[in-house]
Amino acid sequence: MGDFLKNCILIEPKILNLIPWHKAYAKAFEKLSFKAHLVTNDENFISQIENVLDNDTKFFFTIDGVGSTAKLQNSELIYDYLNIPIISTYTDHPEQYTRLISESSNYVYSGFFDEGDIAYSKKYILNDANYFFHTDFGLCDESLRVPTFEERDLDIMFCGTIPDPGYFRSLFENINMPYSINFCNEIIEMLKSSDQISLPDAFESVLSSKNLFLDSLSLKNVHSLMSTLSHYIRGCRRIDLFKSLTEQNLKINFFGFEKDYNLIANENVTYCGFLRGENYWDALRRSKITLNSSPLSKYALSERQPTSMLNGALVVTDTNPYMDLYYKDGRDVISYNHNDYSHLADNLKEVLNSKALFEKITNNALLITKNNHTVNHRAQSILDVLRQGGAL
Amino acid sequence: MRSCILLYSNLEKNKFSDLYLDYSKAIGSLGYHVTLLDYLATDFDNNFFKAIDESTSHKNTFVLSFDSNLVDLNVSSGNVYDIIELPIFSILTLQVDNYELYEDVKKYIRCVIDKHEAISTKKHLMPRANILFLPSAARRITAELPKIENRPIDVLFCGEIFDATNVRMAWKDNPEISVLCDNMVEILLSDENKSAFDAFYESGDPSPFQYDKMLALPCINYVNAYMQSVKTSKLLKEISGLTVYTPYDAKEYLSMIASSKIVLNTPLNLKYGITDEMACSMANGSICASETNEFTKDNQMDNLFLNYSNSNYSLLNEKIKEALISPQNLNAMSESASVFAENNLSVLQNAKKIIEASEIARLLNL
Repeated sequence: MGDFLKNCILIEPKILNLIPWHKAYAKAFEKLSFKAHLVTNDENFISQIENVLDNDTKFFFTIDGVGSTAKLQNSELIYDYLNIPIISTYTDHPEQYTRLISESSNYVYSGFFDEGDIAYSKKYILNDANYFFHTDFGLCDESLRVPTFEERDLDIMFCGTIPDPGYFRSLFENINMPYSINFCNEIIEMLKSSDQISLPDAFESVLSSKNLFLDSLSLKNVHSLMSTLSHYIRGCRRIDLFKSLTEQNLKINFFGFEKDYNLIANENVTYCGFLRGENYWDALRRSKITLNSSPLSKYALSERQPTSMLNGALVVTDTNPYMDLYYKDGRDVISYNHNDYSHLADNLKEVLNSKALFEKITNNALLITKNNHTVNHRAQSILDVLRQGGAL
Repeated sequence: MRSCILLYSNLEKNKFSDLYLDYSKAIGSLGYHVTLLDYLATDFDNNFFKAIDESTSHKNTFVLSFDSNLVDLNVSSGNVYDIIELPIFSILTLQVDNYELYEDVKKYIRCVIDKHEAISTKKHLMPRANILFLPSAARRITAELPKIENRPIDVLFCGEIFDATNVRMAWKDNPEISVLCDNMVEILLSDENKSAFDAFYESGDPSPFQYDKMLALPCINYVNAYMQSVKTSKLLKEISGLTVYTPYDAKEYLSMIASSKIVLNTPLNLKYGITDEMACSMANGSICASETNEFTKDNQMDNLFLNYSNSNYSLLNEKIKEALISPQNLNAMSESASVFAENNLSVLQNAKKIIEASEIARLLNL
């Protein structure tokens, strides 16, 4: 531990569930010879930084932009003053971070887990900023053995939210502007007709079909509209997925909010409560199959996929070109298309009844993930970004 | 309550002079309360701000003007529409000619008659502009359209004929744009499918953005006028039995069209759109003789007019002569064209498109 060549400062996330990820990054940077100093974004933020800062401090790191707009008393951004870059990786869509991104300086590098999110940020938030592709990775407790097929007592699990389509539809239907409602419906129809099209592309395409060409950076409500529509689509897709599987008598264990469970409740869905922190990994280790549904991801991995794989569960997922670069349907995952669930239930039944098939697929997935999608790979890619930007 | 503040002036008489009344009626028929304000009237300022005050309680209010008039209405703290957050649409009746910049007015949505121009403008000239492509509106003079054979004028040409040499002289006198315009003409003569916008940006070396934005407009206008006058004079020489008429006002213009069997369209500078003459001749059941373009093709209009391509004007003359031998044979085309115009190109259809765009602008808080 005395061999660190350089230092970095990691700002602790505000959300408890992200603490394991933060710790994993710290460990990964240390493996890459960077001493990781941990600070919290509170009233002592600047004094904490002063205590650990030295000439070998090469970058700051944060998740979801915590502390990325911290300023000195003279309103200057700390990172501009220090001439030290800050890397911020985001766990959600850019519309959730518009203020943080718009206030970015040249010293902020924003990493998004979906290539489409970078295009979105450039078009609708801030064109001239440092963006980089930083997709999700998997985590597990490496000290534990991966459980066997027989040791997994849950057949299928889903952990996540089910946005209420009725609620999100009401947000744009209650505006008393018939043409606007129609505009939203046309975007939804386009998204539902194809898994390939992204939300911003559908939005632009419908605008263009109306011969309307607007200044994307002046559309103040575009983020809330995109957020509403993406929640609506995610809700519809996830409800449809549950319906298609439970109608075929497959049993699903649902981990999440009770209000979300009510949207998918039937005799084949068991409500298992809300998962926090490491309980999440325990649930993955108890399950043979984990369901993933990320209908609006266009070039990305969703954390659920690699984390499930590292914990030995078989991933059933919608897919996208980035996912397809690494994982093949039937070999490493079971993939599906939201517009065609016809074979999905049978495929799941087959794997639940075949230990050999389960082991073949999960072993392949585990190997690919270990070789490509761990925190060590992402930490290395952050250093690459900094090097390319001339910061290392 | 939905409302529209429509700004107009009666000062200038031309073929568009009553257009504001047509839009007023159409927007009113769609459930909007329309406040008509003459912007040259002495009490305009009072009336305008009174109308604004009354409309602020309405969620769906927009301002409509023509030819970018009053878009630059400013008070000391900035542009009025940006301050009160009210979208202003301005219908630009001509291609490019009266195209002011006003890119800094965020609430301004310019309505242009050529989609190609809209796309080129966003791409090369004003990336932050808001543009709605609104085809020329088909206006009809009377409910009952006379049969083709009962129309007294055989072939009508509405418009002014410019001398191409004079147009060229205008840019030759301006050293800043002289070479650029000459290059643009060369490009357009070698490829008929290109627009003056395309030619302008192709003439830029290496990047079109090296040129001042303000330079683009005179270049495009001059070259468009030049190409139009060259082609028009060539066309008019080839067509026999023409009645040439320069419109005085909208009523006379539309009456002349409705009295004609065939209306000769000016050769198209528009790459994706139609001229006012074409829209109005279709609406009034006259047979339009026009070149085709991507707009007429995409809208399956090419069997609704006498079309010609590749500047083959002598062939067009033969087509016209043949058609006039038995004008009653043109009645089916006349009827289909007027139905198409009513359903797709009328002022009412355009009013719907403006209202739709205003609602979307509101939704997105443009």
